[in-house]
Amino acid sequence: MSGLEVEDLCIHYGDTTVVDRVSFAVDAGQSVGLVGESGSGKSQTALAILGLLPDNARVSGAVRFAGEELLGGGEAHLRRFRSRRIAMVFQDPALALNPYLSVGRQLAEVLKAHRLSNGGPLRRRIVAALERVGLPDAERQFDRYPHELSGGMRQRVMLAAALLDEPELLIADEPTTALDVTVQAQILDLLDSLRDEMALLLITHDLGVVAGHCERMLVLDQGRLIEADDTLSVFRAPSHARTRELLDASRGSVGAVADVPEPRRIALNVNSLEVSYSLSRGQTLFAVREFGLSLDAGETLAIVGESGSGKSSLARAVAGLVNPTNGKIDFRGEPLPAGTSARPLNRKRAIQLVFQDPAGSLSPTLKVHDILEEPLAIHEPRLEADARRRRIFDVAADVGLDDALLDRYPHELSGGQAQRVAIARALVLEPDLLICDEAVAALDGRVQNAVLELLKSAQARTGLAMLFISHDLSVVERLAHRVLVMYLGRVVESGPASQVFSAPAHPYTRALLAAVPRPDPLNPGGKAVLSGEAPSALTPPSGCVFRSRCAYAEARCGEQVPPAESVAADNNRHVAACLRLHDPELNGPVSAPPAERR
Amino acid sequence: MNTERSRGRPLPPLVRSTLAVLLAVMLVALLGPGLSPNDGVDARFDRILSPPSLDGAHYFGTDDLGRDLFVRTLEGTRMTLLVALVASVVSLVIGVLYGATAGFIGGRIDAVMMRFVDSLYAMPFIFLVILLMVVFEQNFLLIFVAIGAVNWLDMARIVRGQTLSLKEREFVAAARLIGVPTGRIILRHIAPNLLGIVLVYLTLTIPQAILFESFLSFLGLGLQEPDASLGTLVAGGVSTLETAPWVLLIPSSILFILLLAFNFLGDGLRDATDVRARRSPSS
Repeated sequence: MSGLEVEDLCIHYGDTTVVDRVSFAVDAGQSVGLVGESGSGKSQTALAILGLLPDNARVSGAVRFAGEELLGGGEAHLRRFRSRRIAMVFQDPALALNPYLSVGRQLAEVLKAHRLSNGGPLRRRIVAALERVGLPDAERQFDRYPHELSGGMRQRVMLAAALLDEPELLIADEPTTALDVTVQAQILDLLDSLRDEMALLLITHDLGVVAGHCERMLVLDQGRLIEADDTLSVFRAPSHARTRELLDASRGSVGAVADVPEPRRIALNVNSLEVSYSLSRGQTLFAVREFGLSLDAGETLAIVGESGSGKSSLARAVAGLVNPTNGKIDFRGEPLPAGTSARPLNRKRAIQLVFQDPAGSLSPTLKVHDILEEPLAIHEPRLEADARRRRIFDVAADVGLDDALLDRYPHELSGGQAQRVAIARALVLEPDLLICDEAVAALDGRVQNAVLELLKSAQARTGLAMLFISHDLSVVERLAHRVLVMYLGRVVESGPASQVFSAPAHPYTRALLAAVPRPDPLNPGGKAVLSGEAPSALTPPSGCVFRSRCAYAEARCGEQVPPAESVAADNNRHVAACLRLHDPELNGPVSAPPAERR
Repeated sequence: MNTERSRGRPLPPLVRSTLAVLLAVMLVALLGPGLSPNDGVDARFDRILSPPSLDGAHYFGTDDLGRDLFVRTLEGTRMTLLVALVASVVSLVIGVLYGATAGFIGGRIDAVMMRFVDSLYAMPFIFLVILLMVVFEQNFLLIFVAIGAVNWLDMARIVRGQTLSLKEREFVAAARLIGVPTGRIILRHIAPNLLGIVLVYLTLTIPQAILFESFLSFLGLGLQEPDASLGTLVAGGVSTLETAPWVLLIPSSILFILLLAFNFLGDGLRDATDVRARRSPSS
């Protein structure tokens, strides 16, 4: 029982209570998940433990580690604990690393600060620490700078720094939220393997992560601890209604996907599209290559891929924000000019886009009402004031925006409200095609579900076609009729959502699906099938772009770009681009969950 | 960065008190000379360098020509504020138009326009001003031109940078997707977001202009007798520093208060319009 004990912790900013009488304990060697929506106070709790809150925070209560009180002891007292006995890693490793110091120097600083520099040659010990966290080619990484590393590698460096002193407790604040799902699985596995005797306090919004990696879980809601129990018990029988809501939200309690209306009408057809950017030194980055898709009215096509797969470039090319370098985009049977300025007004009206960052896509100086009015002012200037006002109120009601919010500025809205405004602005024009570029990625589980519901009902009402760009497969599952998987600018697999999810054919799709954490402690998902990260789109592998990470790659994969083939002979809707698609070996072990999971 | 965020909220106390000080100084400078029985050009050799007194309403004393310093100081303050205002407006208009155009058009035009700014920066302005004064003789207008010409460069750079980053923001992309024409995008979506930073920068430009005018006048390149600005008054006071310190101290104190107030105002407004500074903690 010599671990961390938090007792009646309260945090106030002025009159606002952020954390309200929270008590919990993390025993030695235990892994505990701290979950809650944004604003629930989970990060504040973590920061309070190590005395890292801003000066205007008022903290009361008790935080004891191995029997010693941490609160109110002053900086010198806390320094004896920070990173020596309690280490912390943060969400964004890019912000936590000093950009001006090489990786080796940063770790050396830690060692020097702890006066540990006399335990053998510094360089050798640091390289050993980097190897321990699975950083490939650790010797070479020693002299590199943070910006030369990928996100996953940076998080490994942060872990190496945190673990240098063999802390007894590691606090990890959303350590994988900024990473791709396949990299997230690797980092979480690494955390598990490094733990040995170390206790872990894992702060996350993702119940799937907790299900797979924590013995106990704590649920925070509006600053109050509403649940603290074994992970399994909480998932089986949550005692608090809010916990149940969170669990339901994470399991995606969105209704079934409605059928595409018949008769089918083609809304969008993209052929051999190429989007490239010329960089300095004469380099060209191909974000999208030989890309094709077709989309019917009333249908939702999800484009899935990790960062750098070119999915956003595709969305922007279709929307007209980027000019494709090659290829053809047909909209309702007519060729669509590249670039918004070349498109006639009625074409602009027909294609709308919802961005990832809801607040960033709304003009900060305009009120919600004015934001919703602008599209009408442009496209229906003859509309009378009364009719216009009615349209605005109607669309606001459609997306579930309270009338009172129309008088607010974007910064006075929550993330979910702001995204509703962005969607309302797109819908007020009654578009035929709605492109959603990671439209729910920045939202909490419950809000995410509500927005997905909203998009679905808008589709059912108006029959619009939707191009839904996402990295999050669990979101896609709840919404899409068809799925298209991208890797380094190319399509690797596409087909009806039910088929792709139940019988993924391409090794990449399988790895991606296996890596998704599931909110189920008995079958948590989150398996790290792939190692490493996607290579830079500047230097993609020859032939099959996936072969550098593929367990089944052969020599011929490097020679030929695999053509898209039907997965099953009698089904030409589900296609994948893999040379070994029909190879029995490929269709063997990976689709079944590997047994060696801890 | 925008002014709308501060709408409806009281300005910070520092900003409010400096605004009060500035308004008071301006009011006195405008009305004061008319209320005094003396005038600033009337040289009276019977009261050379008399110390401040209520006698004869010489509240600030007299200078080495026996002129009333109260009136001269207030007239000088008025002149200094006028120079600062005109110079700031000149730099505001040129700087904002130039910077926003360069930033929004971008590409080669932006590069050419900004290299022009760079080359102007490279010019030694003091020498240029001295040269201008020698060639065109001393001209009241020239001071405005010289000061405005220095100040608009900074403004242009700041506005251009801000426009460049605003242009890439998603709300501008969203407006383009809706089909909002370019002119309307600039007016409705970009300009209001520039307002905050421009306002702040303007209040920081004013003290620069005041200082520069005083500096030129102190060197004897600015206003000429009998016109006075705070700079010429300070320059005149230096020679009598030992016998009549008030001739130097009073105008320099007013100059000091003005500069301090404008700087406080600028800093205060910057804090008030900085969104990030007032964001509440979130977890």
